Amino acid sequence: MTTAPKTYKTEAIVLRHHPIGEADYLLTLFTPNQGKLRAVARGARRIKSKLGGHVEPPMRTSLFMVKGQNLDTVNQAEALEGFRPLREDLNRLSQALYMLEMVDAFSQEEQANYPVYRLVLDSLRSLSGDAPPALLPYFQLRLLDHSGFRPELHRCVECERALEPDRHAFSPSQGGALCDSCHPPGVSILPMSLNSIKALRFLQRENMTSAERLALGQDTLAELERLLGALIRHVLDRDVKASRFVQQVAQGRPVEPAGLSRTDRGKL
Amino acid sequence: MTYDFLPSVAAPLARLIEEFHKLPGIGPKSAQRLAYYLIRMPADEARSLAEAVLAVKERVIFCAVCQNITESSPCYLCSHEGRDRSRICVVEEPLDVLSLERTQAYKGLYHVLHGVISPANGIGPDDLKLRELMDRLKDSQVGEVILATNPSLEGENTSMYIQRMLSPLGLRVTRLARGLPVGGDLEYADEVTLSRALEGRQEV
Repeated sequence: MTTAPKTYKTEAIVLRHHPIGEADYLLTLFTPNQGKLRAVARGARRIKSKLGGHVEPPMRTSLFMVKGQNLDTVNQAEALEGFRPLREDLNRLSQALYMLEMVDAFSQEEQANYPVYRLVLDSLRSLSGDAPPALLPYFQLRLLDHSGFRPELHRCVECERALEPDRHAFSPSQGGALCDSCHPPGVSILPMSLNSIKALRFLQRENMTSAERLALGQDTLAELERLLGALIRHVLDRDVKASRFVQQVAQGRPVEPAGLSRTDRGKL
Repeated sequence: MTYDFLPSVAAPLARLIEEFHKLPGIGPKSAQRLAYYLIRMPADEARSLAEAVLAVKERVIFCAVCQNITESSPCYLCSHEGRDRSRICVVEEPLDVLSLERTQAYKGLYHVLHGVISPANGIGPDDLKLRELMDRLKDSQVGEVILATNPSLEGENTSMYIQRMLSPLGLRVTRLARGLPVGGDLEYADEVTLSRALEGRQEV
């Protein structure tokens, strides 16, 4: 009988860190071959920790891990890519946080999904570089694809006929486009412009390099965000929490804390 | 968790166990152990503990100026004559004020945010004491705001957000330097820290 090895090496993108205990972090990692993992980085919050700077989201890092009964422990870590430009720009950072939360939400622990790993890595690199406008919708579409929720954009999800290039609508609960003559009762439908469906089809078909070159108007971008946001909300059955922050940052809103209750003041 | 199904546990004890169980990091077993320990505690010690809990809820408040935890508002630091009123150091938590005070190198004022922007945990800018900071800066003699949030992802994020929020005010906004810790080892430094340490190198 052979015993399973107690240690292993892997590279990973750090999706999240959550402070636990005195000075530890509970990490949520995304690895190329094991998918999502959770692990403890002991002492990582101490200022002199040898791990701390190497396990910050959204770093790509090389890890030496020790298997534990419940959770694995990070024994050594070395940052491979720090994505520094992204960490120093609020707009990009907010988008990166959104992507990391999406990957976390869409993946199950210990289910390898290499295409998703590639997608996050390429997206983080692209965000650290030119940060093209179509990156976020591209990322959303691809992540939906790789998680088994690819939206149908060529046939009506109700009558299954090929879509004519006229008026369309989008049905998040049915996961795709509706033709002009289908109005399924009791289903919430969003309007979808011709520009939007063209952009979505393009992004669904092309690779990241082409997506990076796609120029989109503000109106189309906003519509894509509404459509994909609604689909993602339907699939996850909740909001992606970081999306609000992305919007706040994108609007360049100074600070207008809505409804901060003055009664909280002066009391614990 | 409720102990209704355990009639053998005396009701006051069951209640105490439930209360302990609500605390962070306390599971059912720890809650039971703590409760049984209290039973064996001398009465005056138990009373003293109960009083301490009440006192902290009744007497401790937020300073109306810096939002730090205090017994009187404005707090000791905000009302101290000898402090430099032209600087405000923005920190995440009350404990960070203690750390900075220990250095004895800073004589200005503080502002405690009580948290850090963490979108994945649903903590946005509105959940921090940011409006209070803006109110404070509007008509004041403050010339510099020092951002002393943690050099972590969330801390950097918060710091950049505040920086953007303050930019229309035309103040001097600075950030604590990032680099190598005293007693650290270069071998273990990550690339972000090391490159920043290089950029911030100083003439010796």
